[in-house]
Amino acid sequence: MNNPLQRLVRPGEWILFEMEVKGLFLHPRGMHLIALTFAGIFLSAWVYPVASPFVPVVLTVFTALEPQFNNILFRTPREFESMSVFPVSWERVVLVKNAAAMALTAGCLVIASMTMLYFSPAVPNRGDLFYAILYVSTVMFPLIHLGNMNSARHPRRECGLRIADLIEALWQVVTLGLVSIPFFVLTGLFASPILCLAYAAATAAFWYHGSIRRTAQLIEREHVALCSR
Amino acid sequence: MQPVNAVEFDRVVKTYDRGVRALDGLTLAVPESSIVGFIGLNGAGKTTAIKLIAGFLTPDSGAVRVFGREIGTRDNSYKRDIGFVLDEPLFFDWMSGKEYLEFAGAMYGVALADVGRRSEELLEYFDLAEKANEPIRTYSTGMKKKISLAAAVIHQPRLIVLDEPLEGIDALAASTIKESLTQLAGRGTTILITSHVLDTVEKLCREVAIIHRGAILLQCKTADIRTSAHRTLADATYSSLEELFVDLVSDKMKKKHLSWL
Repeated sequence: MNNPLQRLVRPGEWILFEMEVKGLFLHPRGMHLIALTFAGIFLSAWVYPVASPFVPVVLTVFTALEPQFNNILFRTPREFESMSVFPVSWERVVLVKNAAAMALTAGCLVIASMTMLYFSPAVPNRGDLFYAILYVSTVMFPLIHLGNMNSARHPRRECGLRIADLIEALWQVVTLGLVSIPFFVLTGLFASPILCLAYAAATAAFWYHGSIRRTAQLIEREHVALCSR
Repeated sequence: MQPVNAVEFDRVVKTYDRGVRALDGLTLAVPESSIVGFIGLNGAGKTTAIKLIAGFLTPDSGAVRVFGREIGTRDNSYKRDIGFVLDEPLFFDWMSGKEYLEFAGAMYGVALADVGRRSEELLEYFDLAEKANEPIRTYSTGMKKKISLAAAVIHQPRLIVLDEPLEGIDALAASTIKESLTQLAGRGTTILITSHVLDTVEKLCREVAIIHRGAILLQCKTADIRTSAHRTLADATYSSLEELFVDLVSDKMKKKHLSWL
């Protein structure tokens, strides 16, 4: 009998996941991460009296990985059509692409933390680390959901270093600020990490049970428009 | 029981946003296990028809059926039976040829144990083994066409749809592609192919369908070109498909001439 993981993952989905992760490093857009890491190191040189030393790390990673969130269908010009010739279930494709985005975010956060905090005068303690993890868990799923909607409604044919990409990257920072509000309310006003965890769990449940299906339906409805863009 | 057609266009009309009518009541049947050449001038509607089969477009009216099932964009499970080689090859060009074949096989639902073996065989068959681990973007046009065809057959489809598979490639690559298509046709795979190379279509296909301004002008067995043409154009005699095509299509076009010649 298959183990639970094998039952959860359908044939081909591992390869799609692997390609999503690999694609970031094989495509020139992976260079964004390196360029932004330097900017992040520069930002790390200061002590943030009221904020965490993880701020530059979070900003760098979420900005650099913007296409993984906001343009999941078109990293290269004909990626959507390329996927469309296969008998794919768009629900599963969105799920796998989102899972890859989360895995990449987690991996890049670890690497960027190690790189940037080395240059930071502030020494993060366990509390900083705990709140950083708590923060990421509260913003991750709302960002994924908004990115899914954006990917289906306003896709860019490709990702690179064009004006449209820079605007989207800046918009990602604004969105990050907006989806951070619940975290600051729950930790600042209520001083409750438990409420934060509950909120993160609720957003994860919404993503799994609502966002993926809604995105897939949107892709199916907009399929022809997406192909002829 | 009536035999099911692999592909069927039933009075399909498709008009683009700018008001250009690409298909004007297209009716075409591609019988199962046949190899049909779909020919026409540039802009005749061939690629639009192929895009309808791929689900990239939807018809304004009429129906497109694949193995008897009317296709819609919501359910794309019918693509399990089809392999596509489109005019602009579709793939993730940062992947290596080997990775792309494995990816395509997995996406078509081929068992992972078979994907690796089939990929290697296909790379060998299409003389791509040497560049198997290099990114597709470094491949020549012919190699890209071959990798597209390899990806289109990895799941042993019942139908292969090829849009200009021989365009822009050298004689050797063309020969490999033609040979593989002949082999596939030999084992009962239905092949629908568009091409400007009429000589190849005549040799490769058992049937031809000539499309002009979005409608079929003539569909017949390749062997019956002459007799069918006689019925369409009285008193005509043709020695090749090219002659027939030129006469049929130019008959519908306004004759042009240069005043100084």
